[in-house]
Parts: sequence; structure tokens; C-alpha cells
Amino acid sequence: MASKEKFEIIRNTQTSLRELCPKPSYFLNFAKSSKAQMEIMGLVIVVILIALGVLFALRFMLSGEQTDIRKEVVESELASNIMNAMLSTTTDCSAKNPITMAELFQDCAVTNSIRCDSGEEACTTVRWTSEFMLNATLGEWGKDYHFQIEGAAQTEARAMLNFSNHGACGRLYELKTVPMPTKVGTATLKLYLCK
Amino acid sequence: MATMKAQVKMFETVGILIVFFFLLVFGVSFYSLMQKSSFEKETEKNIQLESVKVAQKIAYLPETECAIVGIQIENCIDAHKIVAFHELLLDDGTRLKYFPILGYSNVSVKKIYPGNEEVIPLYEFTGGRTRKIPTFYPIVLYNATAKSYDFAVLEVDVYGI
Repeated sequence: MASKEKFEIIRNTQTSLRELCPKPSYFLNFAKSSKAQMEIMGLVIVVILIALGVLFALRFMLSGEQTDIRKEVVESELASNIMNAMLSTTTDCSAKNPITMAELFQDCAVTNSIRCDSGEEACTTVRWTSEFMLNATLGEWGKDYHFQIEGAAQTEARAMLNFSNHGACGRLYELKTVPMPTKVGTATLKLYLCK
Repeated sequence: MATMKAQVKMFETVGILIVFFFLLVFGVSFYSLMQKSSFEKETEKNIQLESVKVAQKIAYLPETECAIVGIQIENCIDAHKIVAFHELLLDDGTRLKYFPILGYSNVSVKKIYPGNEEVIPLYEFTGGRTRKIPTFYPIVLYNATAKSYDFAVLEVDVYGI
């Protein structure tokens, strides 16, 4: 074979190879671009992990979760205990014939006929006594309350036995209801402990 | 040029190690902080449970209850019984017998109405502890002499660590 022919064959082969294979710069660019993308991905993952860690830390630090089992247990019984104790208490209304708070509430709701040794009516005595007891306990412990009577025949009773140390409770409260049978129906005493 | 590249690589490795150890130390300290906080919460919870338990035991203790013809009255403590019981508890031996029930606590009854406020002590044993959790129970104080029921509050201070 002549050297010219040989040269021609080699040239043709190189051309076809060049056509077949992509340019080397393409490979280089692809590799570089892929590496950059991988690095960006890595950074994104690190940032996501750090953000998750910070969120996790904040969730624990700022949750402010207070363990207060005692408060839950005591408050669930407080309204009930205080009403039971209050109604069983013997007042100093009459020295000769001890009258309980429950009896004064009943009288106040119906006729308001009892006159204490001091000359006070049942409603007046029961109002200041119950307010005094509630303020000396709940008020002293920083708890807001609202006390009221429902179903009382006497208008005066409904007006006098409707008091609180701050105003009406909001949506959350603990309620103790005590029905008081009277001659003209059942009056209901209600103590709301605001939360 | 080759030395410079190696230095940059080394610097990069050192940087990565510093960041890694920083994150590790931060993680460990955060974890220990959380553990400490959860231990404190657990202790607090136990003291609170103890406080409720002691208050309920006192309220229903046969030594202090009001019983008329054998029937116990709820939320009621006998005024004469607590005075006598307190005198008994002044003796170290007797107090030791009641320690498993009452623990490290101060128990007293505060009479509120009628008349002036009056505090009747019942049990005192703090064991040098200072952190207390107070619990209040409204009760009636039965006075067998006057045949009256006074409005009072059972005050129970349970002492923690």
C-alpha cells in the first residue's frame, strides 16, 4: 500500500473516531457540574440537619412544660370540698340555737325570715359569711371565683348571693353545684372556680 | 503548587473535624441538659404526689376524724382529737411511728370562721429540708364541747429534697 493511501486511511479513522466520541471538554464540564451539584446537595443536607437540631432543641427549651399534678388533683376537688365545708359550718348567727350555713341559705332563698342575734337578716349574714370564707381561702390562694344562687324565690337572695372576687369566669372553670331543697322548689348554689 | 493544594486539603480536613467536634460537644451538652431537666421534673412530680398523698391521709386519719356514733363525717376533723394527737406527736418515738405515713411534712389546721383565725399545729418534721410544697384542704373543724362545726383549712407542707 502506498504511503498516501495509508495516510488517508488513518485520517478517515481519526475523523470517524472524533465523530463517534464526544469532545473531551464535554466530559470535563459534565464532571465539574456534577461535583458542584453534589456539593450543593451535601450543604443542603447539612443545613437541613442543623435546622432540625435547632428546632428540636427549641421545642424542648421553650415548651415550658410544668409538672403540676398536685394542682390538677387539688383543683378538681377544691370546689367540692369548699362547698361541703362551707355548708356544714355552724354560724354565729344565734348563740342559743346554732344555725348552719345551709339553713341560712335555705331561709334566704325562700322567706328571709331568720333574724340573727345581731339583728341581721339571713341573706345579709349568709352573704358576708360566705364571701368572707371564700375570700379567706380562694382569694388568699390567688384563685378567682364566682358564687351564685339559682332558683331562689326571693329576688333579694338572687341579688345578694351573686358575687365574685374578679367578675365572671371565662370559658374554663371548675363548677360545684349544690341543690338546696326548699318549701317552694329547689334552689341551686353554684361555685365557679376560674382557671 | 502541589504543596499549596495539600495545605488547603489539610486545612479543609481540620475544619471539618472542628465542626464535627463542635457539633458533638453541643449535642452531648444538650442531651445532658435535657436529662438533668427531666430528672428535676420527675423529682418535682414525686414531691407533688407525696404532698397530695399526705394531705389525703391526714384528712381521713382515724386519729383525727370526726365520727358520730361510729359514722365518719366527710371533710371533718375533730378539734379536740388534733390537740391530743399533736401532744402525742411531740414525743420522738411516736413521731417516728407516724413518719412512714406523714413523711417530711408540716401539718396544721387553720380555723377561719367563726371568731378569730387560729392555727393548730399537728405534725412537724422537716428533717432539715427547705423546699416545700403547700397543699390546702377546706374542712370543717368539729368542736364537741361547743357542738359546733367551724370552717377551717388543713394545711399540709410536704418537704422535698
